[in-house]
Amino acid sequence: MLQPRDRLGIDQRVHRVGRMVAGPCHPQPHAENILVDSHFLRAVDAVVRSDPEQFIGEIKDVFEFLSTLPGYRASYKASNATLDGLLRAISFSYKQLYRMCRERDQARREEFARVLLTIPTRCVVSVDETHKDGGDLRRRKGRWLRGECYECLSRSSKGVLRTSTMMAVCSQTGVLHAVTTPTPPAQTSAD
Amino acid sequence: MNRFVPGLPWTMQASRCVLLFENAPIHTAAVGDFIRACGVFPLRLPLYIPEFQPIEEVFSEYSFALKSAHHNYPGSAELFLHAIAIFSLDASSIASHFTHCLMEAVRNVPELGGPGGVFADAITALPLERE
Repeated sequence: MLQPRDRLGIDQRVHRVGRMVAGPCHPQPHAENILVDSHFLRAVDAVVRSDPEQFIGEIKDVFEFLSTLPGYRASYKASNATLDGLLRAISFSYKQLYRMCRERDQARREEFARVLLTIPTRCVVSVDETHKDGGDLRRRKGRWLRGECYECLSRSSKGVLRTSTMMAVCSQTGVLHAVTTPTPPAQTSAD
Repeated sequence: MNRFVPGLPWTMQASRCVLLFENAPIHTAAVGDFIRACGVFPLRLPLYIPEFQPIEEVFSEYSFALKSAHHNYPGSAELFLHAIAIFSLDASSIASHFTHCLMEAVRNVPELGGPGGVFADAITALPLERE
């Protein structure tokens, strides 16, 4: 249980440093461990500044490639969420990167738009695959009357079947084809 | 799917002769060759440009329908709920998603959606210059 004195200490540190930092009563969260890795922080900073027009996935690919080279650190491999945290730490936001990437892809976007506009809509059948693992079934936020226990109406995602749905649609008749198959956990669309 | 006839103008092509799919790693060149061999025109989306794919919006609608089905029919079999969600997708709303993608395409062509373009009043052009 957090004591009022500890709370005061945390508030003072946040006020002084500008963000939550580790202390005796507030251990550093695991997700923030990477932020004190100055070597990795500099590496991400160098990659982003050398070519800022990259999505997080592309930056991740760069580090995955670097980790395969002899002499480089295996810990260069980082998840998208970790890289997002690192980008914030070096004063880059994902929004900025997204805008720059959008400008980078504008020529390709325009070229494809011209192709798409020449094709009549009735000719196009759009097809793709989607995964459902129950994550979007949960209601993460809710409101209830003051003083009464919040009665969550959403179902737990644990018991929900993981499925993969393949669908094809067209503008005239709607859904042309849809197949839903149960999939084992930790499988992607590529599997 | 119907057969695409090379050389024929688009206005005379049969309906449903173009397959629009995303540029996922699994969609290799062999996949495109297979689609072409089946007599269908493969149209691959460029990388990181999903806004021209109408089915992405359909999937969003499908997710919403699935969520509603989960809350409306608790305890039902999962695949039954999926079937309810798929049947709730009607042709008119899917057609509107196709129209929306076309509007997005118009927005990205400067002489149509850009300043001074035919649809300039209707569509606000994308900001192309950096802040």
